[in-house]
Amino acid sequence: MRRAQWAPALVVAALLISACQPSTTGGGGAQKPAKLTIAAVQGNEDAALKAVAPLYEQKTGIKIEIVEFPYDQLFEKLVTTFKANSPTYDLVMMDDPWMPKFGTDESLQPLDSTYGIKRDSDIPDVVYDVGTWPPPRGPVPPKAKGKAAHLIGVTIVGNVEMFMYRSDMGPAPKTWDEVKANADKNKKANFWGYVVRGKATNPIVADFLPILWSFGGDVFDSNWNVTIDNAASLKAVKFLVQDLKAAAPPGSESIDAADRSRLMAIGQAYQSTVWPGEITEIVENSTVSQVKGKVSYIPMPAGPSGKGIGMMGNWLLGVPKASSNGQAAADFITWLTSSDTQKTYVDKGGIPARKSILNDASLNQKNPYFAALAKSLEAVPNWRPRTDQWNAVETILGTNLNAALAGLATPEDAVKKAADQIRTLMKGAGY
Amino acid sequence: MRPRRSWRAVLAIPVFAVIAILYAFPLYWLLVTSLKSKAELYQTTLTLFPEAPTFQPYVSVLVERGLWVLLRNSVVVCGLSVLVALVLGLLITYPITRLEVSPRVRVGILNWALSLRFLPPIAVVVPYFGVVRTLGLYDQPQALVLIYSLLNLPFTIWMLKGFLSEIPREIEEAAFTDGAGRWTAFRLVLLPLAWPGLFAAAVIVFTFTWSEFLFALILTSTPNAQTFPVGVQGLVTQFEVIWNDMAAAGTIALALPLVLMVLARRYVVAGLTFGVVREK
Repeated sequence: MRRAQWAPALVVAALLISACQPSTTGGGGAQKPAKLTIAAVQGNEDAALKAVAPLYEQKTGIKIEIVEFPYDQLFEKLVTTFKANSPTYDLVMMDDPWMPKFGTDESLQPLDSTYGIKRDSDIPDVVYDVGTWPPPRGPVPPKAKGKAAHLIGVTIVGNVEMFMYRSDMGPAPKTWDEVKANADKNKKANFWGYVVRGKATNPIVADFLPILWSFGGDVFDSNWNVTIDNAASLKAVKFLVQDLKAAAPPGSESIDAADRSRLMAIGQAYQSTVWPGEITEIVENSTVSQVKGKVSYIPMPAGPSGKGIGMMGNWLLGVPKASSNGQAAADFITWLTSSDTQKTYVDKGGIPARKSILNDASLNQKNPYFAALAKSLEAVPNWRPRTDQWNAVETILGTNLNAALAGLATPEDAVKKAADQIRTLMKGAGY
Repeated sequence: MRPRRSWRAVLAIPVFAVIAILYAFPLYWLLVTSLKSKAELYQTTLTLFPEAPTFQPYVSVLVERGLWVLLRNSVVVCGLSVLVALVLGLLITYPITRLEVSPRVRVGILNWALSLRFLPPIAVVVPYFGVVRTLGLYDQPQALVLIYSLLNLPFTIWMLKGFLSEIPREIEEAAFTDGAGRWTAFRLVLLPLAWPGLFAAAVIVFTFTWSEFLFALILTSTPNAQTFPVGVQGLVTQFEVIWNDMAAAGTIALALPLVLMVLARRYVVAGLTFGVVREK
């Protein structure tokens, strides 16, 4: 009788505990797994991946589970998961600046030597290069010197930073001087000549690096010496925080990509740099944009160096070392990046890297940025410096640039402070 | 002759009205935004009312984004944490309030519990990560249950201590006189009398746990164990802040603790004023 009085409570407790039990997924080892789990970035970049994943299940019977995180949290989650050597994820989606960190830490499995993934001539070499560690060109970090290069990530989002402008209001700028002239000419009440993506750390650095390179500056030289405080780099900083800011909305220091694409979409801005994800999700999205068809996309304008240099922002898929489903994960990458799947992938809003797709006339009509993306890839865009310290460097540089943009520091003071801090950081890391 | 209102009363009405608006407006704005379509959010002018109210953001959050799974996890993890914290809390509180325990031991236990409460979670998240990984509980809801129970234990102890101290010992002693053992007296006499306190403690612990983010983010990696707050933060993407979905998620997250608080407000107020602020 007494036991019966406690029975309901015990039943409730048992139910709660059983609800906590992990679901069995099956798979593992060399056998075909029941499920592949992918850690992905939430937003436009993984939308097409989610859309085509069920097709893979239909074809192979392997369920694709996609676990999404915002940009910053995804990086942190991958770092902690790799540190834990947890087999939670069979595949991970990575922004290309993260590759040096994961390459140096040897967190990923080689896709070429272990699973036989080869380069495809329809995909530009630079796209494979960005997923190769150590990097096949440019300075190599001390810890990676002398190591054999392997493909550790394959691009599934062929992002390159480009430039957008209101083509219904003026011609395409060929140089950054023309960008400045157009900004001043078109600025009026409630309409901004240029939008600076000036939020601290990653956003402002992503906005600034193409300008920096086009002005002949850089963060490091080929021997990892810091050059962000040389004359060309300082000129680029002044151009961003003084010249372009003069035509930009107030509060530029807190503007991020979401604010920028919104200003373009509601017809309150003339031009800015742009990532493909902003185009498909907002600017060319007819349900929210008032300027669809009025905006054109071009590769980065040229600077005083005579070159316009875009910046890579590819998203890659890699296989963590701890995954016990490596072969199945590699098979998924091969399927996803195949020519046939990429057609469906693009139809679902995916951003491709295949030349045949980017240059397809009918697809160009539906995706007005494809031609500019193809040209940007063909011109071999720069990647962010291939150092495992990049996240810390980006934080230092982005914080100081943001201070200069906000008027809290002069451009000279900002670059000096950034350069000093980066030198100390790099020295401490053995560079 | 009408009674004259004092100038204080006249002044109080607009002051309290302003305060009420300041408190209520964010909630109103949250609700209204959750009923707006994405197209409406991209208009150049802000509107106080949705032009075409839609429940699509709720469908998007719960069904299309699959956050109902995380919502279920939150309910399960919070429910179990409350259960464990209350059981442990009673095991610790009963002896120090109902048995002959020296004041030194009693105060020592209470101070120890209080010191746990002062521990900033960020200071222990990395060691906990190591422990959880070693125990093989990474990405398992059990890890969150254990940690949430531990973090909420001090509050539970202090709150239950207040309630149990208010129950006269004579009532329990009467049960002993009638032949009841300590366990029977606890179960049939003390627990029913302490029920409002347990309920209040449960509601407050549930509410604290419901909105916990740091441990849930660090110690989980898939919907197997992720909780609702972890899913909500995913609505800020790199190129877009999905305001209507985020507002819908916020409204959902707000609803359950709000309902519980309304149901238990009398007990919660009592619980927060009993013995919590003084050592008897």
